[in-house]
Amino acid sequence: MHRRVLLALLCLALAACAVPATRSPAAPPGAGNARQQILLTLRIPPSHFHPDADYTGDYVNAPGRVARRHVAEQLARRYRLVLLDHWPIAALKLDCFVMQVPDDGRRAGLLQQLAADPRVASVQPMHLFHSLARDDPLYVLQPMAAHGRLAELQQHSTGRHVTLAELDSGVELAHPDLRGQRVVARNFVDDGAYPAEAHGTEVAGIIAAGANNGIGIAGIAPGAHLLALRACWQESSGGAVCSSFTLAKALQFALDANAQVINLSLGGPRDPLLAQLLDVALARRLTVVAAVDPALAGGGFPASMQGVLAVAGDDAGRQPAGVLRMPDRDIPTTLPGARWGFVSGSSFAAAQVSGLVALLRGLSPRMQPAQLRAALSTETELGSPVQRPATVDACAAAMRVDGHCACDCAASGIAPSGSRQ
Amino acid sequence: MLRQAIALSTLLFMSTASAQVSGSVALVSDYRFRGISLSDEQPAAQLGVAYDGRGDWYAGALVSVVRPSQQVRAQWLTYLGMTRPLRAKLNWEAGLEYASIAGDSGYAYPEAYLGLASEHYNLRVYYARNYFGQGPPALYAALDRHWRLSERLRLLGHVGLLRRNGSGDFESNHYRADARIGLAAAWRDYHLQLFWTIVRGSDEPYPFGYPRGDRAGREAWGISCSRSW
Repeated sequence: MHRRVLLALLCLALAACAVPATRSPAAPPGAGNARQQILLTLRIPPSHFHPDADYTGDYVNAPGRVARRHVAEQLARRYRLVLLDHWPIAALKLDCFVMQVPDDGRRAGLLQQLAADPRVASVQPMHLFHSLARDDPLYVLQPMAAHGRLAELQQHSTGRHVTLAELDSGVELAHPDLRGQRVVARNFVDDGAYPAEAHGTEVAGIIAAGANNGIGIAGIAPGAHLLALRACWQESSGGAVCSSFTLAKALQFALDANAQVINLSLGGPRDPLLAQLLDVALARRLTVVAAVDPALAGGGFPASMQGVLAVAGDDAGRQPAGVLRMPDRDIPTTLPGARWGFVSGSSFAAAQVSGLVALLRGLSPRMQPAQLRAALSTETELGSPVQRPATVDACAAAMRVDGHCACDCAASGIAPSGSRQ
Repeated sequence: MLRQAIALSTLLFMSTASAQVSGSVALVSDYRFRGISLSDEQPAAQLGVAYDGRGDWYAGALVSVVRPSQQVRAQWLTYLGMTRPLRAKLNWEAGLEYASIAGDSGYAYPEAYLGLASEHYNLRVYYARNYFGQGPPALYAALDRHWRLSERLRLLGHVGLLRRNGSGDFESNHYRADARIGLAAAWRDYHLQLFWTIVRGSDEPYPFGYPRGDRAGREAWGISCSRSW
């Protein structure tokens, strides 16, 4: 009898645990706060034998996580920091802690002291990243539809069976052109509801808006499975800002979800933690597409990272070798409030390449990263620049990947692989 | 017992600043070891300590209440192992453990294990030359898996198969299989688990030399509550 009562109580307790967790509130997102924050990581030992009867072995539930949190609390006390939030970055086997530094100008010294502490795996400032959007509408054409012959390409692939992670601000999931698409949304900024925000909705529309639905625009990869990961928040100016921590959490989710393409329409300073995560993604043959920030040297981070597909606008000035170009002015797309409009900026050039990569990976799921890069290249096989405008040629890329003309080859000026000279 | 106590205290004090020491205290309604109740289907308290060195080495100890022959005793499990990455999400590991029951030295035995471990599952093979001190060697293979249901909830699964050599009086079958499913919830430093376990194979409830209690159920529901530190 006692056992049954005990079991009933346990069931009630388990049911209570099914309610989503309410973590200790993170600092409100905002540039002012982030500048006073640091990211500190502690090593997660690998999973191994534990004789404990209730050991589950994962990073969230293992006893070691509690021990690491206690170590972080000790560090916070010793260095007079405030522990704000934490998250396991399993791909790097690191537990990541956000700490607030007192506003007394000692952040640089603290970073040095913490880096020398043997308990600490790494420590870095919290960086901020910005979306790369402009606001000067001019044209009323969807570039991929006009020049990339999107409809013809989508007869061969719509990106079905390809999972694409968009790390951005919130997407309006109920937008008429996005409703019904295969979208999974997660919020890594705060514990609140998932909001509809401008930049995320704009990028999502370019990638995955419904095609042939009689309204709005056609997404480049409408069949793709879109992970709308809110790692950025909208500022009053309309732009989006993200932090090292929110992006790291979202990247970890994308890796866990086996995403094949990651779109990063953002730029900022080089970030060691994010660079490590992107290295893991690239080692797993994920395609990482990032927008070039024309205001930063080398295009900013992560566009400047080796292995990342960096995308600039077609009218951008001189770019480093390997940077792809796509139209980035007056791109029609979805806007919050069930509206459509025109957007400009390298954010949207990157979104188009991400959509195209999803199409190409749909055509050739086993394609290697080098093959993909070669397919998107605007150089000829002899290595000299082509005479066409040096934007990515979607039809030529599809032909290089698939070996067949996805579009009208004569119009494209390209030849199938079998007839190459 | 003295040896295990010394090992445990050494473990606690040998930690360098970069190493991690973690532990847990638990109360289980029935301590089932490979499907067999070692606590005579009575509640048992457990204390576990784990040490993870900066390299690939780890060690730990678990002390649990057991009830062989209706006597309350302490079972000590100490272990030492190493783990190395095999692939991006997979490690291999090898180690030794030593099990003993204070006051019943006849049950003491060492065991070696080799396995694959990832965040979500592990597969191990254990070999004991003198399983529970009863003479014949035993081989035990176990697969453990867990699935994340939500941020706090996990579904756990376990299957194991024990093969024991030798020819004792009550051995008509050399194999014994056990399985366990459970639902685990985490809340702050606490873990709660509801489980159901079943054991099948061989005719007798305790033919393989396990410490024997009065009750010998082959199926059982159980709960455990633990606090990590």
